[in-house]
Amino acid sequence: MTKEKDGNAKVDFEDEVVRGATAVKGSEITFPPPAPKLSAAPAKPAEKPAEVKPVEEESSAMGPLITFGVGALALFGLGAIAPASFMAHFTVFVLACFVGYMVIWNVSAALHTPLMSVTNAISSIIVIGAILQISSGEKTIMWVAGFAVLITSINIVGGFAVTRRMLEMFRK
Amino acid sequence: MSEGIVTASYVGATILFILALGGLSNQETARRGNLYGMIGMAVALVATILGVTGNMGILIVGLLVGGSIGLVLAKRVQMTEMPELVAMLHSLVGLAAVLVGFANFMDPGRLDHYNGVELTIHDVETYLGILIGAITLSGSVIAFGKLSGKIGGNPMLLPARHFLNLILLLVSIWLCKEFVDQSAAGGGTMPLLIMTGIALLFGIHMVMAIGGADMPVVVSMLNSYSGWAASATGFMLNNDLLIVTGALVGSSGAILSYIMCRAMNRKFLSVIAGGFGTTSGGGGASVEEQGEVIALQAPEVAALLTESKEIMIIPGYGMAVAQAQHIVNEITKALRSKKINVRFGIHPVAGRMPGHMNVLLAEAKVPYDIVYEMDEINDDFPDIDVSIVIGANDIVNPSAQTDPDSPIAGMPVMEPWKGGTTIVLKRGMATGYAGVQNPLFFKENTRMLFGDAKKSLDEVFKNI
Repeated sequence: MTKEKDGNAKVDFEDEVVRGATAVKGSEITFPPPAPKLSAAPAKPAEKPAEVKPVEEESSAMGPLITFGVGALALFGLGAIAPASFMAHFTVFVLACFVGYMVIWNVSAALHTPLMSVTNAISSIIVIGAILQISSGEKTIMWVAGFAVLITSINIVGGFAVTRRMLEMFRK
Repeated sequence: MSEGIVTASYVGATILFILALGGLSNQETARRGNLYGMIGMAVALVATILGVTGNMGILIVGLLVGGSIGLVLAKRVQMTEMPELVAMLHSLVGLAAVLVGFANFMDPGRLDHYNGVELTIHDVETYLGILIGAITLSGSVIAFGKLSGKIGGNPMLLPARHFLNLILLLVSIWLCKEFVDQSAAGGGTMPLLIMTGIALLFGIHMVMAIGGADMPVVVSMLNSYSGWAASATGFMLNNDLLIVTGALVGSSGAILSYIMCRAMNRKFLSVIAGGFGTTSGGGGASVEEQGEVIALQAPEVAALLTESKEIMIIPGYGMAVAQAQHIVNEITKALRSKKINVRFGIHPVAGRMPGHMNVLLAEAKVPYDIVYEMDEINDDFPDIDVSIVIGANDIVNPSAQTDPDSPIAGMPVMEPWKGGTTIVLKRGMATGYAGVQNPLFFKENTRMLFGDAKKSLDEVFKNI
C-alpha cells in the first residue's frame, strides 16, 4: 500500500530494506549512477544478497533476492524512459534516503518526540515552492500560494519552537 | 540573486538540516542541532525570498501571521497533547503540498517549459505530490480527531475494505493516465480534482480503520508521508533542497514506524490493514485462570518503598492522563535522597507517540540519566526490589511471552515479575488497549494499589 502512495516504487524499497540492513550499504554505491550507467546496475544487486546472507539472521534467501531483482528492474525501466534531468534529481533523492536512514538510526529513543516535531518543521521547507509561486501574475495562484505560505509558516515556527521547548526540559 | 548563490544557500540549508537531525543522537547536542535547523530554514527562506519579484506584501503577511500562530501553539500546548499537535502539523504539510501542486498545475507557463516525456514526468510528479499530500492531510486530521478523543478510538471497519482500497488505488492509477493525457492537451483539471477527493477519502478510511493501540505507528507513518509529499513536490519544482529534506523526513518517519511496529511485534502492513483492538475475544480464554489480587493501601506501599534498595518505575500513558508525573518526580527525589536507587524503564510504545513518555518525564523534571529504554534495563529486573507500574498494562503483560494465542503474543514486554515485588497502580481491573487480561496482576509477588494514580501517589508521598 505504502508503495503506491510513496510514488515511485523505489521509494518504498528504501523503507523495506530497513530490514535487510547491511545489504543496503552496497547499493548505496551501486544504485545512484545516472541514466547511462544503469545497464550495469541489475547485475550488482543480484550478487549482493548472496554475499550478505551469512551475516543476516535466518530468513529466506529469496526475500532480499526478489527485492533487489525487482528494484533493479524498476530502476532499469525508469532509466530507460526518464530524461537525464530527472535521473539527476532521482540520484539526489536516493542518496538522501540513505543519509536519512543512517542519521535517524543514531537518534536516541528518548528523543523521538522532538525528532518528530523537528522533522515536521523542516518538512515545511515546502514553503519554498509556495514562495516561488507567489510572484505569479495570476490572482488565483497568488492567493493559493499565499495561503500555503501561511500554513507552512505555522508549521515552521511551531515545529522549531515546540522542539526547543521540549529539548529545554531534558536536564540531568 | 544569482542562481548559483541560491543553490549554494540550499546546499548549506541541506547540511544544516542533516546536522539538526544528527544532533538528536543525544540530549547534549540536541539543542544545538535544533538551532542548526532554524538557521538552515532561515538561510533557505532568505535566499528564496530575495528572488521574489512581486506580491511581497502577501508573502510577508503570510509569514508573520503563520509564524505568530505557530509560536502561540508551541507555547500553549501541553506535553500530553504533543501527539495531537504533531498530527495537526502533519496535516498542514499535506495541505501545503496539495496547494503547491495545484498552483503549479494552474501556472500557464507549464506547457511552455516542458514537452514530451518531460511533461509526462512533470505531470506524474504533480499528481503524486497532490496524492500523497491529500492522504497526509485527511489521514492526519482523522488521527488528530482520534488522539484528542473527538473521534472514537475503535477501528471503523467497513465490509470488504481491502477490496475498497484496491478499487480506489486502481481508479487513482487510471485517473493518473487520464490526467497526463488531458494535461498534454491543455486540460486535466477534472481528473486531478477527482483524484484529490479519492485521496482524501482514502486517508480518512485508512486511519479510521486503525485502532487506538496503533496510534504511535499512525503518527510516525503520517510523519513519513509528509516527508514524501515534500519530496514529490521537490521533484515537481526541480528543487533538490525539497527532495533531500523530504527524503530525510520520509525515512525518519519510516524508521520510527518500523521501531514502533517491532516494539509491538506487529507487521507494518497489518497495522495499516487495521483492526487491532477489536479482537477482545482473545482475552476471554485467560479470564478463567484469574486468581485473587492482593490490594495494598498507600501507607503500606510507602513502607515497602522506603525499605527497598532498587526501585524501577514503569510509566504508561495512564500516568500522563492522571497528571501524576510531577508527584512521581517528588517521590523519586525523596527516595533518592534516602540513597535508594530509583530508575525509570520506558517501553518504546508507552505513551501515544514515539518518545512521548520521555518528554513527559522530562517536563516533570525527572533527570534524563535515570530514564532507561526497555532494552537497557530489562535484564536488571532480577536485582530490583520493587517495581512500580503506573498506568501501564499491555507493556508489562507476561502473556506476551507465555500465551501463544494472546493477541499480543511475541510483543517485547518489560519483566517486572522477575524482580522482588511489583506494585501496580490502576483505577480498576479494566484491560489495556489490546483488550487482553493481564496475568501479572494475579502473580503472588504483585500488589495492587487501586484508585487515581495521582491521588494514590500523593498519599504514598505523604507517608515517605
